[in-house]
Amino acid sequence: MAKCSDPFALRAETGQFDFKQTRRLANMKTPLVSTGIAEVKPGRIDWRVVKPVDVRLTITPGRITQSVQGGKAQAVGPASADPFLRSSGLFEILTGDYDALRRYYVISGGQRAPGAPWKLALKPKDAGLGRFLSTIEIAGCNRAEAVNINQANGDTIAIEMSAVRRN
Amino acid sequence: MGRGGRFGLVGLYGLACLLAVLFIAARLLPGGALDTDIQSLLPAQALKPPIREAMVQAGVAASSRVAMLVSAKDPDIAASAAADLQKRLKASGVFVDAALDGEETARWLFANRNQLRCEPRPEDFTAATADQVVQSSLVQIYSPVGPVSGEMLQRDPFLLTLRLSGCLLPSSGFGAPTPDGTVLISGRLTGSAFRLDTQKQFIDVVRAWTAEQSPRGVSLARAGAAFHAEDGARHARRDVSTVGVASTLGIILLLLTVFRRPRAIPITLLVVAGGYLGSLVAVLAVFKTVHMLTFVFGSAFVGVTADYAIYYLCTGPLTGWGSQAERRAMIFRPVTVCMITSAMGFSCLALFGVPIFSQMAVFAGGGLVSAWACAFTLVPLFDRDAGDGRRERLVGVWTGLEKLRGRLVWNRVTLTLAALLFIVGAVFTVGRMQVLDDVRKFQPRSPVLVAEEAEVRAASGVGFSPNFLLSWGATPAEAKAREAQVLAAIPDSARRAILSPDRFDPPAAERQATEARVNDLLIGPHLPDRASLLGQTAGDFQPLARPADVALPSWIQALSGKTDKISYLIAPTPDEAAGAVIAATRTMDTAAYVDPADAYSQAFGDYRRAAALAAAAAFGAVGLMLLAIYRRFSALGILVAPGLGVVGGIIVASVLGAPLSFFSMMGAFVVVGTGADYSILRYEAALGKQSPLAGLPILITALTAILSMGLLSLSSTYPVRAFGIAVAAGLAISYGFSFVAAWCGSRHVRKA
Repeated sequence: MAKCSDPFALRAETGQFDFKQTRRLANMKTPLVSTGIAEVKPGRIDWRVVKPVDVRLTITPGRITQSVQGGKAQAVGPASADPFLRSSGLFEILTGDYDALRRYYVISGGQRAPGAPWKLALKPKDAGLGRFLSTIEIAGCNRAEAVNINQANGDTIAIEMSAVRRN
Repeated sequence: MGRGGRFGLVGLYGLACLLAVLFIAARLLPGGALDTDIQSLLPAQALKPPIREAMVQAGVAASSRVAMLVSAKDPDIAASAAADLQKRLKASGVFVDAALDGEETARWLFANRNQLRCEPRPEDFTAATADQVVQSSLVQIYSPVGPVSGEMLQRDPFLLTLRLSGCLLPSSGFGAPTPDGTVLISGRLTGSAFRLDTQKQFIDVVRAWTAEQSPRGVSLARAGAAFHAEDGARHARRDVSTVGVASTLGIILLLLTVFRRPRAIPITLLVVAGGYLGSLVAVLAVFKTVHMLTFVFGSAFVGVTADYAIYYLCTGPLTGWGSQAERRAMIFRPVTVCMITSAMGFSCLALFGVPIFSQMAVFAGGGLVSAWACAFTLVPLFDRDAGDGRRERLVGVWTGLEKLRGRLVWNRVTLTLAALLFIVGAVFTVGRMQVLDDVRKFQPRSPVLVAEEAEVRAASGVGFSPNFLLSWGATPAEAKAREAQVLAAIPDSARRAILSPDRFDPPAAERQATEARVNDLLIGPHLPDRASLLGQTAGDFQPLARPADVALPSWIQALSGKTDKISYLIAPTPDEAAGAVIAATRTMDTAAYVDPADAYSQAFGDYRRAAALAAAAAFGAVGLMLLAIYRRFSALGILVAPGLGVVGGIIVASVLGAPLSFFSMMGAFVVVGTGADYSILRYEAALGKQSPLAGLPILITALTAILSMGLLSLSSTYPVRAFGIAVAAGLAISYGFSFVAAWCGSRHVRKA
């Protein structure tokens, strides 16, 4: 079995991977499952939900744009994005730049043993962000493989990411 | 008049001053008597009834918006510095963070989600629209950044609240992501940015914060009218105080050179103070509130009363410090004629029904009368004698100076040259004269602030258009119907850019119609599928539930108003929607596109024309008064020099590249009021009316007036400079050509 890397020493891998997002909403019985393809490029992630709707997001360190069903890309503003995802370093979460995330979160966890898979828990520092977000859990080995976002209202978003396919 | 009578007058004037001080204190101490808001300058008559009120209200709403971008290399430092600024601003009580407005707005949109719509009319919400809403809400639900929650979907399964936020709120930049290491703070001031007290409190907080944070490498980009207003006022103050110091020193030097006695300075100040006292009493007695601009220009008008003190002081060396009665008698008639004609001239400002002009007329009139009384009652008490040893020496100094002045005479060559210069200047002016009423050009905006504003806009999208669509009617419902009519007539892209208060709070009938369509076309047909998608039944949802007691957000409330007979709505309109709104309102008489800067420019244009007419009327009134006093047509020759002074002021300003404006016309008024004095005194002297003031005294008063007001022509602030040029050139020419009045007087004497 290959040894896992220190999560704080990861380098963002460029290439494509598949993802599956499962959103569980409090008071709703059926989870909302969507799948798609993400492509990581230097300084940018193209995140495309393919099923059941076509949504394309371009995520950079300072900006997120969204295009729906082939439409024009528009900056994600207050009416169309979760406050914590707009301002909490989504780019860094998905690219594994966890040191940079210390700006927003108190980070706990890590590898149980050197070379073992790791798990991190991120708690927001800002009280405003804390109104929306309880914790973010990230698990992986040589890259982030699963992200669980636990919102303050009981909703959760789980994102599973497959291995990276080099272009 | 006997000694007892004179002391009686002194006592009476002293008592009047005491009562005046008490009256002024009673009016000023409770506050509210001084109007510092530039918006009060809007002419009441020149605009349609609701436009003025709406402009004032919209001006407060638009001008109060501010945005600041806090930057630092280290994002943590930027965040902590921004938090510190937010804390200070909140503690100041003059700033409301946009986040508070945002939460208030979100609550309102959620509470009214089924009764508001993005479409212009209820019937535009069709089955196809409902399908689009279903699809777009599905996208939000599956989007990784979609701001949805289970709780929200239970009450708003088709995310109508988010849809309304997107279409009703124009892109304000609120909450938009900013580059790394920067934090945007946006919000509004609790009062107009043009109110000096609000401005000062806010700017003081920002300045103190900047002083503390700059050494940490934190920088601030500022956007908003408050910053520009404060910057403009600060520059004007600096200009005026620099020029003020220079002119004060010049006047002191002049008085000491001529009179060689320090007491000449407090005596001169005493008369000016007496003038101000009279001005304040008069204006505060007649008007409930007095605008600050009245004080600015009124003070210039009253400042010329220093001449009355100077004339009395001149009688000292002229008579070898004769008796008070002799000295008073020497100047009483000419100075009284000067006071009456000046007061007549300034009173013409009140002829045009412009409130601020009426205030200036009363201010100047009260000041002239009071200063005149002071010069003949109190001043003689303080200038009885120069002392035995000094009397002859001072008379000798005076005689020497008078001889020097005597060399300043026109000859054929100099007069021809002056006339030629005047004619060439006039021709140049006729061909090149420009008029400036555009308030945007009165004072160039600070390039630093303009660059910072661009930085804020680039980083956040925050724009600051002060223009708006104004709709009005006899009732609020009529005003709303009018606004809806305009919005229905413009393209969708333009409508989306407009922040329309009516769309946040439509009439009850429209609300019901919208809710019926939302229910029939969206909720009824599509809720079962949406419930099924979420593993629920339709009964688990409360799509029509409405929280109680949700108030219309205060910033939307501020966009509507009422006068005695009219209700109106203000819809802030960005430049990209202006053309569509102008086209849609062109033929309407109860809706209009309003550009406040244009309206202010129009107001200043009206003021300039009114002031020009008032100046012409002043010439007429002074002429009639001169005919009544002297009962001979030659007295009209007195008007030649001030007339040339007014025209010459315009010519000089034009040659120096300063266009004609309202401020130049105010300068012309000073020239009419003061310039006529020089000619009156020379005319009196020529008639042999015992006026020895025609020589050195009028040269001293002309120089003091030019030093006190004319030096303002060196200011870098356009309004101040325009006023200064008009006064400096006008008074110099009035003095120079005052020989015409002497010639008219002497010609009359020869005829007799």
